[in-house]
Amino acid sequence: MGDDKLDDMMLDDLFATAAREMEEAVSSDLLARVMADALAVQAEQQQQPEPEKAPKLTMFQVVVKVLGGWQSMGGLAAATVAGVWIGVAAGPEMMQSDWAGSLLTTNAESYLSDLDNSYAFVLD
Amino acid sequence: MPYDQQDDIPDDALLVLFANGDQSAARILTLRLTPRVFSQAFRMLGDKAEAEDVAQEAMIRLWKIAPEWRQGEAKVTTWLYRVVANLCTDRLRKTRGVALDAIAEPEDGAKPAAEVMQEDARMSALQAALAQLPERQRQAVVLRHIEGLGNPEIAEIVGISVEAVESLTARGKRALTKILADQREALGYSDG
Repeated sequence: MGDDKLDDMMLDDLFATAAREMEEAVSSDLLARVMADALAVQAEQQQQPEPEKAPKLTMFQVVVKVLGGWQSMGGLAAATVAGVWIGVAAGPEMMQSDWAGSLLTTNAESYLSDLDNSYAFVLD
Repeated sequence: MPYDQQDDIPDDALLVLFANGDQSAARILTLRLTPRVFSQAFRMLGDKAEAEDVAQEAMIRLWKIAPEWRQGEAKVTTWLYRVVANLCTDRLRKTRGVALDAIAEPEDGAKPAAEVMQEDARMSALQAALAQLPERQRQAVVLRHIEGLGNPEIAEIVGISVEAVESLTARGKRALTKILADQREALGYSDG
């Protein structure tokens, strides 16, 4: 066998022996120390109060958060109002459906239904 | 949970169990990881007592970080090897000159005395040769060839590129061969 091969073999064997020997070389004293530390740290951690939880958000707050906070909500509200205003200002010809049109051209009967008891359902 | 079932659980899951107060997770992690951190520390420092201190300190840091550990984010062993590497570097900087003769006594009484003596001589020679390597080279060689880690993991531990790890381990191996070549026959590695 050539010197190079012998050197490789020697190194490989030394590394393998070193890896195997270390598994055996760990003293039971060290393991006991590590285990004692583990239990001590664990007990300490279990005694500590849990960190204060973040306050619970209402559904509205969650929606505001998802949409990017109050600033974004302000923009969104302004855009909504502007949209409604453009629609209303454009007049009835822009309103395609009867329902939308009725928002602008309410007839007298609509008001009567609000005021007159005879429009109410009679159950008995 | 039975021992054999927990033995299959990955390190990071055991660490989460540990943080939840599971004592058997502490036991499994101690038995699983202490030999590895001790081995790395011993090969770096060459002194059993110092290596034990480093192993204990590294494990304490692991226990303390357990509640903040996020599963799947990092490998526990990679994190630990890095802690050990840093602790060893600190110690080596404080005390230049490693005790080369402070080699652990083999504790296996079943082997014949001659075999034990030869193995002891081989390990002393390897440790003395490792101690002559520059610190990073030694770190890379120990992690690659004794701990059996892959180059990408070593790169993460030592904080260098994979190419640099390849170069370090190759140079380290060449240097070790050169240092040990004269002792080959004395260590029982001969052609016949």
